[in-house]
Amino acid sequence: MQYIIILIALVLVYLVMMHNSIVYAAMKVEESKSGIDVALSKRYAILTNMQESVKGYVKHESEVLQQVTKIRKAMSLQQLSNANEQMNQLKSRLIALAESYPDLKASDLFRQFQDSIVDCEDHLQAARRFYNSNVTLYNKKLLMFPTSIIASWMKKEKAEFFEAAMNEKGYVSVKI
Amino acid sequence: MSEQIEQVRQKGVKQFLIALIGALLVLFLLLMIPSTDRMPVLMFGGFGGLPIVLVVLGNAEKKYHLAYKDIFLRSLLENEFYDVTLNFEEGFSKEEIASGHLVRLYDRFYSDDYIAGKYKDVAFECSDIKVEDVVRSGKHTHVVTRFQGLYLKVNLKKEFTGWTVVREKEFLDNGNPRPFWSEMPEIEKVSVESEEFNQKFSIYTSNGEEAFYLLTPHFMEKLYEIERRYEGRCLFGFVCGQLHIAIDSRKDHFVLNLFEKVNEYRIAEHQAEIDTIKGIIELVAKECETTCNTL
Repeated sequence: MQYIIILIALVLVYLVMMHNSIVYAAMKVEESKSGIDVALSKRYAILTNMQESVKGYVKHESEVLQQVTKIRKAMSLQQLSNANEQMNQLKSRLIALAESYPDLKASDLFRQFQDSIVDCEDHLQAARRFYNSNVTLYNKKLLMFPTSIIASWMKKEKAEFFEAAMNEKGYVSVKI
Repeated sequence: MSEQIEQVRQKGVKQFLIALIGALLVLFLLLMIPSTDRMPVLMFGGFGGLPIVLVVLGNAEKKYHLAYKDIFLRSLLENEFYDVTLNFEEGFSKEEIASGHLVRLYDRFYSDDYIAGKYKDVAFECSDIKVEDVVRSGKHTHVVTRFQGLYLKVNLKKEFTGWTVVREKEFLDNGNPRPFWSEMPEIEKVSVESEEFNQKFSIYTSNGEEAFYLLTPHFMEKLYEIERRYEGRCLFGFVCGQLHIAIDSRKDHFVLNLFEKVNEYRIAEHQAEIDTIKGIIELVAKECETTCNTL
């Protein structure tokens, strides 16, 4: 009888450990998603500053560079991807614009913005890779035995990769 | 130049031979004394003569090494690198190595052959280090070498505040470093996209996102290349804006035997050791700070 109780206790401890490992993995996914939010917000701030500085140079060509979606808390992965794509487009337009205006391209401020953008994109890449790595670990737990059983009891669903979401998004045009 | 070194070597060999012959003569005289008690002989052999001979040998060898390094190796290094600072007798301090949290310091720590300089506009510092563990089991005590090899530091371009270590995995992963880092704040183990890299290395970090920021696919390739190219277990640490590289090759660099003249084979070996430093810097140079700042 004692052995059965010990065995049941061991099984229970094991189940709790597996449950906690799934909860921890899910937590890491959420935590790393916030890293993407932060990197995108920083990129947004730099791009909007860059946009403001460009306006002075290209007054006669366009009135306003269209704003991209502002990063808010609790945005879905799809929304983040859309915002990221808008930022990519805005960046390309700004750089293309700078090519046509040598004064703008040569200005220290514009160079600083470009350096900041590069660093910001490195951070965004890191955040994306970190997020995807955590998603891989989490999804593995959901698929592999025996954690898959606990995960199905917990009604956990597979997490989405950041890149996968990017491929499905619809484009939002950014007009200069 | 080589005559000067040879003179130091011959003087050392002479000193050693005099000490050895002297010790053997005293031993012989002691054995000649008609006595059944051989204790004085053993006492002399064990606690007197042999250690004296070994001390003389050690000192002579040290002088020979220093003469070789000061006269020959210095010019070799000054030709290869610029803004060179050398200290062949000392290396990194124990505290400097401890602050990197890369190599665990056991009971004994030695460091020598400090080289600081610039190569391809990259400022670097390196030194040989050796860490020994005194293991006591019952009545027996023996010394185990835990690390011996090159320790190199370069400044990185990227700014970071956390701490990340990439360790080449050991047999059965018996080098689990978690107890060694017990005093450090939360450390997590992360895996990167490359399965090959994950199989070869373990990555521990205080900030997962920062680890991915530092370990770009391009940089991971370079670290893997260092592991492939150079013999020994590799450890890489990203600490306080610097990249620390430790290669546990179980080799003491730039050494010579007292009974061996400076020869082409040794010079080629030492040139290869210098090429190792150059090769590592070349591989990581793209990620390094290339300003005029020294470390």
